[in-house]
Amino acid sequence: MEISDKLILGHNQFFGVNHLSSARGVATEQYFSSTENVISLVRTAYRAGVTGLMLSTHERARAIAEALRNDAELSSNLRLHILLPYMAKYVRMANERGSISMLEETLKQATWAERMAIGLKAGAGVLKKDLLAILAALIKIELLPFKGLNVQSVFLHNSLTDMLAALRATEVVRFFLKNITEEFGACPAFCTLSAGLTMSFFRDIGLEAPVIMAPFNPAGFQMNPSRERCEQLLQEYPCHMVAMSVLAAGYVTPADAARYLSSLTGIDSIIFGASSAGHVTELAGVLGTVVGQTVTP
Amino acid sequence: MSANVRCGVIGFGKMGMLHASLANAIEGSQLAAVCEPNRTIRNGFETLGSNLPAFENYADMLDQVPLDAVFICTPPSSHIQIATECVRKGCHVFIEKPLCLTAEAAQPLVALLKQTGKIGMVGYMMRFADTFSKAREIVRQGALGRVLACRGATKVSQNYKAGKGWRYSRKESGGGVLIAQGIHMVDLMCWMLGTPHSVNLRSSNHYSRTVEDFVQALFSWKDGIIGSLDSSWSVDGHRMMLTSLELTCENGTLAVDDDTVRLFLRKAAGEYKEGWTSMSKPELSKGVSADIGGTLYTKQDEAFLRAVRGQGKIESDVRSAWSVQHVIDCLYKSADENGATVDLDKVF
Repeated sequence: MEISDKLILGHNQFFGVNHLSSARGVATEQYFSSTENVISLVRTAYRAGVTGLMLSTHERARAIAEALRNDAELSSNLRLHILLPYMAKYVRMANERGSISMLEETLKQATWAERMAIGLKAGAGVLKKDLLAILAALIKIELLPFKGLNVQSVFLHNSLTDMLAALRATEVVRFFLKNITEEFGACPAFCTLSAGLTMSFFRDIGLEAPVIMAPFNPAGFQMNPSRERCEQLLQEYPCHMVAMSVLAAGYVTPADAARYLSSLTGIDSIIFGASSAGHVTELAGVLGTVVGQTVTP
Repeated sequence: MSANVRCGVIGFGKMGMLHASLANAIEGSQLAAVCEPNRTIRNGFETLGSNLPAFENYADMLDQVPLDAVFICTPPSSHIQIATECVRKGCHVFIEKPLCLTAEAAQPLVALLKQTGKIGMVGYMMRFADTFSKAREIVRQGALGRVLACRGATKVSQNYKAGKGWRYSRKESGGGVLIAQGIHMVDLMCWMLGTPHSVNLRSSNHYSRTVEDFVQALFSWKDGIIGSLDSSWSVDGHRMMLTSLELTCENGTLAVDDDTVRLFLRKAAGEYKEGWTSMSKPELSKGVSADIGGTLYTKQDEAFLRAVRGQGKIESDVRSAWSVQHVIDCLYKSADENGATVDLDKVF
């Protein structure tokens, strides 16, 4: 199973994430608190050749999913790539209530049958032992808002991918691959901010051609442990690579980013963020040339 | 010591998982065992398939597994007792912040570490944020001249109802937003400017029952610097914690937060020009072995593990964390006395 989109629109701008400036993040979040503004940008992007959209399982993703469902053009053509879980929510809940209460409260959203399957007795709030059953239920809950939409892939959040790689949790990685493929008919994929560590681990455990989303930019920003090592692994380890952070949070120009990405072999898709129609069209044009996705106006 | 630093983690919650992952990802160290009283979490750890032992009781872990270093990630009320036992067993210790509930309680640990020569580090990770370490370097280079005043803040949109668990029990956590989050800014101020000489604190709670949700603190240093801290975990617009500090100095201003350093100089000094200079995270950052919860945690744990191997010194040691704790004690004493000025040398 593969990702067919060459260009994917990222979601950070919709949810107030900006790695260069939190203040700017808040300002764009305000603009995109209108779902209409979100859909309008997604439509502009789609018509500029950005055929994929990534959405995290943020609280607001439900409204966006609903609006996409009601849009004839986008619901039938646009492919969704889901990033789960929305980590900030869980970190906040864990801080507020502790890790176990966080799990219990989240799992309350599961159906009766699912709760039985994971040994969560109604009302008793008792978690039994099977971590993988708990994970299966959590994934199901996280993906509920996207039911019926064209979900092509499901990415595991970088914090979890990198933690699993660090702990060499082979069984959980294999479980994720199987669960996403068999339960949701989607392509399982991994986001990482530790490409060196994660790609080496995947290679060690014999994962064949995994889908990976990792930073690639001329500034080397978020390319851990180093730009050189990430480039080397990209050469050596066959995988479907979705390049992210290509503009290094706005630190490098689109032209420099495109020049750099074109110099690499092995970048299959690019994910990028943009917060205006002009910006998304410009980026789709410049970055589209790198991956051979060009739309004639 | 074995070829790799063998690490144990006590308390496998959010921070324990992070340190366990980093200990395994950083070159020259490996995770050897974890200890977690909660059975569900222990079972979860076992399902990860690492085949490492997970203990219910830390004494058993210390008895049964040879360890060089231990990460202590339990509620603060248990830090000193656990750290003391780890050091007595010959381990170096990394203790999640805050060090403990009161400076007085930590005094024996400070003495024990001095006596044994073991490394004791406390998790004030903001010192390892690229922007804050750059800011400190600029202050120490002297381009700004003498610091006159500072204004710090920590803000996050997190608590809008009474929280559950140890964080919200003053007995177990030592307090609310000040000791949980504002303490990072107190540490940064002490790191950059030295320990203040007197403090005042006003605090209030609205959502939490027994700990504070809002604090406004004042600080005075002996050399005439004055400072303030505004801290809350119940303010809107900050999905992630914002940590910000502004220093007003004789030759300009330095404003730093998690993302950027902004420097304004009235006269050019050293490598910095007159007027504004802005430095962002992508510009300041360098690669790390793995980024699991933010590169600052990796750099922090790398520094600790390097020191354990006898390569390099750590700055955020138990002694400096003791000073931060002393400031926190005085701030809470001030709040209990309706904001009265508390001189640090008169407490403890």
